[in-house]
Amino acid sequence: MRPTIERVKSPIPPGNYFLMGDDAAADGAIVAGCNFFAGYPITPASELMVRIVHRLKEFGGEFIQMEDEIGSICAMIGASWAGARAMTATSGPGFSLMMEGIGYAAFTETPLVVVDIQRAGPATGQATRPGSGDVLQVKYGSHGDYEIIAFSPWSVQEMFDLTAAAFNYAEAYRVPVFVMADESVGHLHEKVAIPDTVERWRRPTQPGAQPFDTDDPDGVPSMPAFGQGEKLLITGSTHNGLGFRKTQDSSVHSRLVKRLVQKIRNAADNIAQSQAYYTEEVEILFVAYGFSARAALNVVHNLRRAGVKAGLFRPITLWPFPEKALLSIASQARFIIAPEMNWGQMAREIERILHRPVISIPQVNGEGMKPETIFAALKAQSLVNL
Amino acid sequence: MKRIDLIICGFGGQGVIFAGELIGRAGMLAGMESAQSSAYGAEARGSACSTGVVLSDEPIDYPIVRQPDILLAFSQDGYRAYASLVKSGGQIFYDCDLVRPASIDSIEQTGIPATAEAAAIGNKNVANVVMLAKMLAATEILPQEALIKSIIEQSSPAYREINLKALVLCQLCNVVCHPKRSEGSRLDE
Repeated sequence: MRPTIERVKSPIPPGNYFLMGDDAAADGAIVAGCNFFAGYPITPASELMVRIVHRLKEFGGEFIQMEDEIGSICAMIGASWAGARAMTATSGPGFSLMMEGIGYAAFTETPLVVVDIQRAGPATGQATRPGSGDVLQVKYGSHGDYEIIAFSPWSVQEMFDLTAAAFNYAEAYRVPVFVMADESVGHLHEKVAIPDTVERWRRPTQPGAQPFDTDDPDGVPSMPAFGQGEKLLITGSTHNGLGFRKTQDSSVHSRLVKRLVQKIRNAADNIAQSQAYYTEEVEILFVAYGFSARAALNVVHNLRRAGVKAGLFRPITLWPFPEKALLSIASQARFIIAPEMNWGQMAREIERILHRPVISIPQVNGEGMKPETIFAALKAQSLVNL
Repeated sequence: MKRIDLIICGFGGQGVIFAGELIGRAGMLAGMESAQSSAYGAEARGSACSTGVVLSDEPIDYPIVRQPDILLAFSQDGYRAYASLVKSGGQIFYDCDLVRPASIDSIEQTGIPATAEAAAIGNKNVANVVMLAKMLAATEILPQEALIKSIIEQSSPAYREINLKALVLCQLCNVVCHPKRSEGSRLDE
């Protein structure tokens, strides 16, 4: 079923603000109608939580600091079923704790938004240092088959825009949506333009419709909230359209899991977003996301000035990955280069999509990607001679 | 393209990061593209910290400062770490009670008694504003009005008035240390 769409005035006065990425995500959430936040403080996501405590007080909504991140994600699931637009913010160690709840949310088709300000992992790692090590975890971290939506902001403006968009996609597809920022963007200050009005999509609700099954080809069932007069059974066990447990029924299980996967895969072209820079004629194509894409674009500018045909493809959604857009641009490129702040996590996904070798430039030193690192790798591969 | 890179360095608690936010916001208010990033340890106070600000009249691709045009130094350690990165033809402003400068070729260095002046104004915590005001007066990279607006928007209510007072007093009187350059050692010694 389709979401209902309304256009509302931004509750935060429109205009230009000079904000930290974490703060911009909090404001994006408020503009999107977030009215519930459950969280546990963690560097480098704590600033977002501090900001939203004040914002929820100002604009209305509930804030609750939970005992840990497991409690946080579970509280959000409950709030979402009560009709709230719920979010949390965390970083690697907290994100790992949330995995069980994320699987539960995916299986019960519960809209919620998680902002992950990624830091250098694994484990406690380097709390104040950036990384992008959670980009596969966000898709595969919980057990079983399911699909999610994950955005990758590269600027403070996108921290605002994509966090706001995350609420809409969560509601429209009844799925957990993730904003996979890294510390370099989360703690960066830049200009943010807050618009006059914003679109808010609301979960499809049709009285009497089954909340966990649909014949609608988009695969998104109606979602009532507690208190609207519907009978609601919500369980993490396999369930039929009405929510009754069917833990021994193979046809119910396969129908449910297939629908959860296909409702996102079938809509991938509508969900996936990307941006391309200098790709009309390109020999060296960088594929980079988040902060690494800033370094890659700087390298592209320098290479272009030196007459090298370099370009950048930037996935804005990591999941679903903008496969079609990448395929059409990559066909003319001689080399595909993937710099990222992890040990080559997305490089392998890009290889899978393109069926050709990708030169990975991995960086796991707890620093933001540097243009110099990319240049050095290009020289080591004898791709440039500058 | 006109792009100016700044680094401000010192210890946590000196208002270094806040100074970066002030100048970054001032850049935005002056109609420029601006980005500000920070590096600091897990300890909020007393540990080395620095902030980089990029001001540009075009969109900023890479927002981190690697080689500053301008360095503002509030500590000897920070000076030691960043002075050698300043671009040739660049400028260094340092707190002359806290930093003993080295002689560096083709860099203009100016000592400012920022902390002492701030104490005279009434609160040594406004040393950051004193330094920014002096730097802006000397470099004119931004109009002073942009910094005034930035201070009004960014300061906590408790500091708004004294920050503005510091700025105005610095505009009115030009107090600059005359560094005993001959006493400084070379940076590479």
